[in-house]
Amino acid sequence: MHNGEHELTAGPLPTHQDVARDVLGRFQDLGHRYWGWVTVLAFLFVLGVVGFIIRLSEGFSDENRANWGYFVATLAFIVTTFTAMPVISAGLRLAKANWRRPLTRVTENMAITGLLVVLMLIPALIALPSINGRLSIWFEFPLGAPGVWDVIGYGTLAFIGLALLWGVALPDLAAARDHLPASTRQRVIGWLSLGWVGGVRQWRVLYQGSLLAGAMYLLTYPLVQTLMISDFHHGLIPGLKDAIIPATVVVNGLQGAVGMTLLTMYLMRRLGNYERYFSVEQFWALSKPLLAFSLLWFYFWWASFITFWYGRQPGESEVIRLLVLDEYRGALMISFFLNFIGPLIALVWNPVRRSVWGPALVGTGVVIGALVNQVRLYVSAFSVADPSQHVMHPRPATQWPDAPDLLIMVGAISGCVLLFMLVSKIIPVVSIWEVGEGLRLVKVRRYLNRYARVIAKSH
Amino acid sequence: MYYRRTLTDAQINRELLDVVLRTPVWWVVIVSILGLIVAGAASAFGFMMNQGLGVTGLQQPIFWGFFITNFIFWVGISHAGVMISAILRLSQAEWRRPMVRAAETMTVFALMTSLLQPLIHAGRPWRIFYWVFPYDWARGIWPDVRSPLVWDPTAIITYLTSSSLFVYTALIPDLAIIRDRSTGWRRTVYGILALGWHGNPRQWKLQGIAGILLSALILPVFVSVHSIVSWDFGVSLVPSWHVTVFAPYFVIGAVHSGVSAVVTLMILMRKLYKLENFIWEEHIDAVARLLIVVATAWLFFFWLDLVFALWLKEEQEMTVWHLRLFEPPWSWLFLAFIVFSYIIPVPLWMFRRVRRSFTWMLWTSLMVNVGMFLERLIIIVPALMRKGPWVFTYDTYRPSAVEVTLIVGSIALVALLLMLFSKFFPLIPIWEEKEGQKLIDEVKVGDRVVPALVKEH
Amino acid sequence: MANTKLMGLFQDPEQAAGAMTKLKEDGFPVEDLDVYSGSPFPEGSFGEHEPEMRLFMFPLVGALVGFAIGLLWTAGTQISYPLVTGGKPLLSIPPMTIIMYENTMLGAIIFTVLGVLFESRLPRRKLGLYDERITEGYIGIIVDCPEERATAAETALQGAGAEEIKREEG
Repeated sequence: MHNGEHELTAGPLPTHQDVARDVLGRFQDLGHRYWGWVTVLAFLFVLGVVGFIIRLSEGFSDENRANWGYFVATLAFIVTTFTAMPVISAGLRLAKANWRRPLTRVTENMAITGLLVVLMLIPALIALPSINGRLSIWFEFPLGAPGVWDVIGYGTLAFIGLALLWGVALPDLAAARDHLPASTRQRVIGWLSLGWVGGVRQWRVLYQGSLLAGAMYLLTYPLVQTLMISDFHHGLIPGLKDAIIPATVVVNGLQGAVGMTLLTMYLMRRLGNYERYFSVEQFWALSKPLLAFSLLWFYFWWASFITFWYGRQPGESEVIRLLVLDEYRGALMISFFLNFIGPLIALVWNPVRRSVWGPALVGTGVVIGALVNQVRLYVSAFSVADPSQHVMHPRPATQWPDAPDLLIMVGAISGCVLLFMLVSKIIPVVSIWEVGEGLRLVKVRRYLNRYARVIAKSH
Repeated sequence: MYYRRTLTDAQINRELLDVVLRTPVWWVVIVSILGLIVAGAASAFGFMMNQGLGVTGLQQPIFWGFFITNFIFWVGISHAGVMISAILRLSQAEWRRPMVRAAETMTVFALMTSLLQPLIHAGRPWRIFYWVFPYDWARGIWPDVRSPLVWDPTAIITYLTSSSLFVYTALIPDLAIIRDRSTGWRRTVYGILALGWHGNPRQWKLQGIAGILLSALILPVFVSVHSIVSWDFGVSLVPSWHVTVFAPYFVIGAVHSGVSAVVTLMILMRKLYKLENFIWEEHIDAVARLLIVVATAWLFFFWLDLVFALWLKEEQEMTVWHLRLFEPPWSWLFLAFIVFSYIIPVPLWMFRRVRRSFTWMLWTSLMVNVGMFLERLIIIVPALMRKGPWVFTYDTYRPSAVEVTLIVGSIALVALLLMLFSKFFPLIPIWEEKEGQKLIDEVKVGDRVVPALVKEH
Repeated sequence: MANTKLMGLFQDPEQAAGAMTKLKEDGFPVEDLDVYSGSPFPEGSFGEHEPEMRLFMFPLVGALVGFAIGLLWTAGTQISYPLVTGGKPLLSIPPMTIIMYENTMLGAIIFTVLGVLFESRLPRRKLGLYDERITEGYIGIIVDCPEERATAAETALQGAGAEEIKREEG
C-alpha cells in the first residue's frame, strides 16, 4: 500500500546476460579483502578448536557434564540459525515466491554448516548421560539410542542440504566452468558441474529435484530440532513434561533462519556491494514471516508457561523456577525482548518493514536472542546434577561461560561463516539461472494511466 | 488458473446475484427441510430443559459429553474463515477470491452455533449470565477471571464480533451493487446497509487496507480462541489433558477441520448455486495442497501429544491412553478418527486427479470432519472415565437420542443460516471477482504465451 | 461562486483514463477530480489524486481503550471479591493477560472498522451524483468545478468519449 510505488517506468530491465556477467565477475575476483576475512575467520576457528581441546582434556563424566553445556548450546545455535537457512529457500521455492530468486543461493550455501554440526554432535553425544534409568524420548528403545539415531538424523539433514545445494547450483557451476579462465579452481568447478549442458530433460529434473530435496529438508529439519531438544534438554531436566517444546524450537529455528538471512544479506550489501540483488523487496518480504515467527515463538512459549503455572505440581514449579523465574530469568528476558517484543514493536510498522536497516536490525536481534535462548535451554539442562530424579532437587545455579566456552562459541560461529565464504568461491552466491528466469517472467507494461509489473506464472 | 473465459461486470453481477434477486424452488425446499430439523432440535432442547439433564447420557463421572465435543467441533470449523481469508489475503493469493466470503460467513455461523453448545450443556441457559455478572449483586461475588471458563466467552465474543465486522466491511461494495439492482423497500434496506458507497479510489484503497489490516488483527485472535478452548482442558490436572501442546494442537486441528469444511462448502455451493464459472478445479486443488501441509503439521502435533503424554510414564496417564488405544469401543473410534482424518484423505490428496475431482474432494473433506469430531470426543470422554475417590456409582457414557438430535440440529442450523445468508447476500464477493478479472494478463516467453498477473507492487 | 459537479460515464476504462489526462491538461486540479468504479483498479490507474489518511491511529487508540477496559475488569473483579483460588494469588498476571489481550484486540478491531468507515467518508445519507451503471462496469469521472468552467469540463469529457454526462448543481 505504499504511495508512489506505481511510479514504474517502461525503462529496460536487466537481462539474464547482465546478471551472469555481473555475478561471474564478482565470483572470479578473489581480492585481498576476501582473503583477509578468510584469514581472520580461520584464526578464530583455530581458537575455537583450542577451546574444544581444553574441554576434551577435562574428559567426559557425569561430574563434569556441566562443562559441555555451552558447547551443546553453540551446536544448537548453529542448528537454529545457519543450518536452518536452507529451509527458507526450500519453502519459498515451493510457495513459488518470485522475490526469493536473488536470496536462495545464500541460504543454500549455508547448508555446508551441516558438516560442522555433524562433527560437533559426536562429542555432545558422548557428554550425554546414559538413557538407562532416566526419562527419554527413546523410552526402552535399544539399538544405540540416542547416539546412533541422532547421528543418522543429523547426517540425513546435512546430506539433503548438500544435495540441495549442489543439485540446484549445477547450471551456475556450468556457467562458471564455461566463463572462468583455466585454473585448478575452474577444473574443480568443471568437475562439480557434472557436465551440465542445460537440456530440456536436465531442466525438468532440476526443477522437480529442487522441489523434492527442498521438501525433504523442510520435513527433516523439525525432526532434527526435536531430537536436539528432547535428547539434550528435555531428557536431562527431571519433572519436565513439555510436549510443545520441539515445536517451539522449530519456530525459533525458522526465526533464526530468517534473522540470519537478513543479517547475511545486509553484510553482503555493505561489504560486497550486493545492493542490486538484495533490495528492499527482499528485506520487506522476509520481515513478514519474521514477525509471524516471532509471534508464534512467544505463543508456543506462553502455551507451556500457562500450563505449568496452572499445574503447580512440584516438578513443574521447579522447572519454571529454573528456566523462567530464577536462575535463567535474565536469559529469558533477553530472548523475550529480542525474539518477541523487539520484532513486534518494530515490524508492525510498514516503514520499518519496508527498509533495509529495519529488518536487518531486528534480524540481528533475533539471532542474538536465539543464542541466549539456546544457552538458557541447554546450559541449564547440562548443569542438572542428577537427571534420573523425579523432581529436580536441588536446582542448579546459573552457569556462566568460562574462557574455553567463549573460545568454542566464537570459533564455531566463525567456522560457519568461514565455510560459507569458502563455498561461495566454488558456487556463485547469487543463483544466476533463478534470477535470470525471474527476469524473463516479469514485464513492465502500461496499465491505463500508470505502469504496472506483469508477472508470468512459472510452471 | 487464468485460462478461463473472461466475464463482463454485468455477467458477474447476474450470475452471482441470481439467488439474491429471485427465489428458486430448490432453495425454498432445502430451507424448509433444514428449518424442520432445527425446529426438531429446538423441541429436543425444550424437552431437556423441562426434564433436566438426566435425559442426556451424562452421568458420574463423565459430565462433559457430546455438547462440549460439539462446542469444540464448531469452534474448530469457525477457524476456516480466518484461516482461508486472512492468510490468503495477507499473502495476496489470487485463488482466495471465490472462497473468502463463504468461509468468513461460515466462521460467523459456526461460532454462533458453538456458543449455543455451552448454553445447552448448562441445562438452564439463563444461568450463563453468571459468567458475566456477579453471582450475587448484594455481596459483590464476581466471576473469577482466573478460571479458564471466563476466558472462553471473552475470546469467543471477541472473535464473533471481529469476524462479523470483517464480513460486513468486505460486503459493503457488494451491498451497493445489490442496491443498484433492486427496487422498492429492498433498495432502501440495501441502500442503508451500503452506507452510501460510491466506489471512488479513496474508498477502494481503504477497502484493500481494511482487508489486510483486519486480517492481520484477526489472525492473532483466531489463534487465541482455540488456544483458550484448549486451556479449558490444559490448565486442569486431568490426566491426558494437562499437556502444554494442547493450544497449538487444537488450533492446527481446528484449521484442518475448518479448511476441510470450506472444501465441502465450496463444492456444495458450486453445485447448488451453479457457480461453475467461479469455482474451478484449480481452486479446490489449491486448497487441497494447503490441506496436505496443514494435516501434516497437525499430525506432528498429535505425535508430540502422544509421545510426551507417555514421557513421565505416570500410571493415570497411561491408563487413559490405554483406554483410548486398546479398549473398545474407544479403540475402534480412535482407529476411525486417525484413518478418517489423515490416513485416507492425505495420501489421496497427493494425486492431482483426486485434488481436481469435486466428488473425491467432497467425500474426503467430509471424512476429515467425521474424524475430527471423533478426535474431540476421544480427547474428552475417556479422560473423564476414571473412578475417583469417593465415587461409588459410575458408568460409561452413551449419548442419548436428545444429544444426537441436538448435534444433527446444530449441523442443520449452520446450513440453514448459510442458506438464508445466501438469499440476501452473495456468497462469492462480486467486487473481488471483478478485480481478479482485471488483473489477468499474458506474457510471451520464447514461443509460449504464459498466463500472468498484473501486480500493484 | 457556486460550484457545479459533472459526471462523465465511460464504458471503456481506457477512455476514462484518457478523460482524466485531458482534464488535468486543461487545468482542472487533480484534487477536484474523482473516479467512481464498480471494482478496484490498481492504485493510480487513472492518475487520480492520492488520498492522505491516518488509519493507523485508529487501531492504536482502540487497542489502548480495549486494554484499559480489560485491566479494569480483571483487576476490578478480583479486588471487589478478593478470594484466593487454587493457590493463585489475587491480581494474578498470567490469567489477567489473557482477558486483557482479548479486549485489546477487540478494541483495535472495532476501532479499525470505525476508522475505515470514517476515512472512507461513510456513511453518506445521499448518493448525490451517481449512476447505477457504475456497479455494472462503467467508470464515472467526476469533475467539481466553478460554474463557468463547466462547459470546458463537459467538452473534455465528451471529447474523451463519455457515453453520458450528468450534472449536479451544488
